Amino acid sequence: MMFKMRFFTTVLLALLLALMAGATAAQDSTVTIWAGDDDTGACWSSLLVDTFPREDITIEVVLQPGTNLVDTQRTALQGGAGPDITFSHGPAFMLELASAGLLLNLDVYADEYNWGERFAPWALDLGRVEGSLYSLSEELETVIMYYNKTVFEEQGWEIPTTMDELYALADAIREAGLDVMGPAFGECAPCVEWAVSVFLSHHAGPDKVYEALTGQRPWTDEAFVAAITDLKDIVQDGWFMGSLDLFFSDTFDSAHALFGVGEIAMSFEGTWMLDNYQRDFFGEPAGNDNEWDWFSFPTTFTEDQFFIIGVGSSWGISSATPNPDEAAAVLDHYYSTGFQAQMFEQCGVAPAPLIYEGDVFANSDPREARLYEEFGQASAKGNVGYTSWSFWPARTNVWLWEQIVRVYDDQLSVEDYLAGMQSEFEEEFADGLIPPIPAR
Amino acid sequence: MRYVVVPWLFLIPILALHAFVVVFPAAQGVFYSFTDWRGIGEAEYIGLRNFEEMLFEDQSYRDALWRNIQWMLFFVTVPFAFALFGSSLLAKVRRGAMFYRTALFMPFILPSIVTATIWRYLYNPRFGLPTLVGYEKALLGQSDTALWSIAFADNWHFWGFLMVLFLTAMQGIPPVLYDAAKVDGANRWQEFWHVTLPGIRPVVLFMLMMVMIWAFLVFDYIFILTGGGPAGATEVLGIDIYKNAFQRFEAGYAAAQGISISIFAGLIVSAFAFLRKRGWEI
Repeated sequence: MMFKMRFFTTVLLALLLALMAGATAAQDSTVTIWAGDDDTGACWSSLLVDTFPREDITIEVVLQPGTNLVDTQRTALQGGAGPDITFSHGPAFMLELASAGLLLNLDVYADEYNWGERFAPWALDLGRVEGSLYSLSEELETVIMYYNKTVFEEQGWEIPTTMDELYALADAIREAGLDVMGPAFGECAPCVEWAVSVFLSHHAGPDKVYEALTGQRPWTDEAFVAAITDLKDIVQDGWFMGSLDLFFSDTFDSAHALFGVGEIAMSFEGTWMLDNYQRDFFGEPAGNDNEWDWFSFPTTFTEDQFFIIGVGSSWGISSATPNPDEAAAVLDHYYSTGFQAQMFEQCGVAPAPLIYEGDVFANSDPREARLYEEFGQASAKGNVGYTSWSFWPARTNVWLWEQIVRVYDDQLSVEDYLAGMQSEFEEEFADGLIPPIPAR
Repeated sequence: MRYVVVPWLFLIPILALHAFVVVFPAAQGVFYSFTDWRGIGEAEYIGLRNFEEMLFEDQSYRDALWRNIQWMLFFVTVPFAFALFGSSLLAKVRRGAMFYRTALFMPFILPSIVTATIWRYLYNPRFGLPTLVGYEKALLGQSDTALWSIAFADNWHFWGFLMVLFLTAMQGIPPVLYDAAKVDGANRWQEFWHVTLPGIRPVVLFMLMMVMIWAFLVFDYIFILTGGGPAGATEVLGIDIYKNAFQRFEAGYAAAQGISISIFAGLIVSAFAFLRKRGWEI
C-alpha cells in the first residue's frame, strides 16, 4: 500500500513537472543571435543585451569562432537550425536566402515599428524581394581616401577635388619618394572590388551605372571601358603599394602601418577603417606623431563631395523562428538611432543607414562625425554611386572582382572583362536575381 | 552462427557512424551534382549539364586542374627527395637522433594557419628572405612564382612527416643486408639504391599514392596565402569549388567538380591496384 502511494505520488509529481516544463517552453521568449567571437562581436552583442529595454524577452547571444560566420549560418539555416535573427553579407545574399524561403516577411513589422520613417529610403528598398521586405541594411559603407595629414602639411600638398588634381598629386608624392596609396590585397581577394566600384561610379558616372544595373545600358559601354582602362593604368603604374606584385600580395596591416608612419601618403579604404586608423596606426598607440584625415575620391563630373553607397551586411529573421514577434522587437531596438550611435561610439561598428537627426554622433571622433554628415548631404543631392557588394548580383559580382586582377595582370583585355560581366549579368537579370536598385 | 553475428554487432556502431558522416553526405553530393542547387533551397534535376559544362565549357576548371597536376608533380618529387635524403642521413645518427627527428617533424603538427602565416612573412620582399639575396619582388604577388612559392612552404611543413615514415621503415630492414653489401664492397649510394630503397619500397609507393590523391585536395595553404591569386595563378580545384559553392551560389556545379576529384582519386588507386596485381610490392 505504502509502495503504491509512493509510486502514484512520484508519477503525479513527474506529470506536474512535465506540465510546468511545457508551460515554460510555451512561454519561452528567447531570441537567439550569433556574433563573431572577437572584440567587436563581443562588444556589440553585450551592448545589445544590456540596452534592450524589454524584460519579457531574453536575447541569447552565441559567440561563434572562425572568420566565416555567414557561411556557417547559411548551412545552419538550410538545415532548419541557426539563430532567430540572421545576417549575411548584404542584399544579394539575403535575396538568395529569401528566395529559398529561409527568411520571414517583415512587412507587418515594418508597419508596426514604422521603419519606413526611420531608414533612408534607398536602404529599406535594398531589403525588398518582389516588393516585400525581408531584410534590413546594416553598416553604412563607402570608400574614401584617407591621407596622412602630417605628411601632406609637411609637403604642402592640397586635397584634390578633380581627377586631374589627383593625378598631379600622385606625381608629387612619387617625386617625394613615397608610395601613392595603399592598401594591398594579399589577404582579401574580393576587396579589389572597392576600386572597380569607385571607378565605375566616380569615373563613368552613377547614372550610367544605374542604367546598367537596371538593364538599360550594357556593361560594354564605352564609358565603362574608359573607367576600367584608367583604373588598370594606375594599378599597373604602381599607385597601390608602389608595385603590382605588392598590390597582389602584401597584407592590410603592413600597408596601414606604412601609411601611419608616412611611407605611403594615402589609403584607399572603406569607412570601416575610421575607427581602426586612430586606434592602431596613428598617434600614441602606433608610436608616431602623425595624424590622418580623409577626403572623398574625386570624380570626372563634379567637384562636390561624391560617395558610393553600400551596406556591410543585412539582417533578417529566420522563417524557422518560434518567436517572430520577439525577434522583430530585438531588431527594432537594434535599428534605433540611439543604439546605432552607441554601437558606433563604443564598438567602432559603422552605423546603419538610418536618418540621423540632431547631434547623435556628438561623442564620436569629429572626422568620423563629419563623414556621416557630409555623406548625408551628398546623398540628399543625389551625389551617390553604387558599391558592387551591395547592388551587383552574386555571380556578376564574383566576375567583377575575380577577373579584374586578370586585367591588371594583362591576361584579359578591358573589353573582354566587361563583355564577361555583361554576359553574367544578363543571365542573372533574366533570372530576377538583381538586388533592388534605388531609383535616381 | 554466433561467430558470424557477434562481430557484426560490434561493427554496427562504427558502420552506422560511417554511414551517417561519410556515405550519406557523399550520396547527397552525388545527387546534387545532377542538380542546379544554389546551396540553399530546392534543387532541380538537370541531368549531366554540370558535367558537360565542367568538361567542355569551363576554362577555369581546366586551368585549375592543370595547377593541381603541377602541384602533384612537385609533391611526388621534392618532398620525397628531401625525405629520402634526410631519412638516410638520420638513420646513421645515434647521438641526438630523437632531437633531429622531433625538430624536423615539428612543422607537420603545426596548424596550417601558423605555418602559412610564418611563410607569408618570410616571403615579404621588404624584410623577408628575398631581401637576403637582393630580390625585391613579392614571390606571392607574381603569377609565375606564386604557386611554387606556396608549394615550397607546404613542402616545408610536409616533408618531415614523410621522413619519419621512411625512417621507421628503414629500421625494419635487417642489418645483415647492409653487412652483406659492405662485404660485397658497396659504397653508401649503392647501399641506398640496392638495400635501403627496395627495403622501404612498399612505404614509398603507398605514400606516392597518397600524395597523388592529396594533391587534388589541396586548399588550406593556397586559401590562406593567396586565396587563388594573383590573377588566378594559384587557383586549384579546391579554391574553384569553394568559390562556386559559397560565392557564386552554384553548389550543384561545385558538387560535380567534387565528384571529379573523387574520380581522379579512384583512378590513382586503381592504377596502383593494377600494379600490385602485376606483382609490385605496394
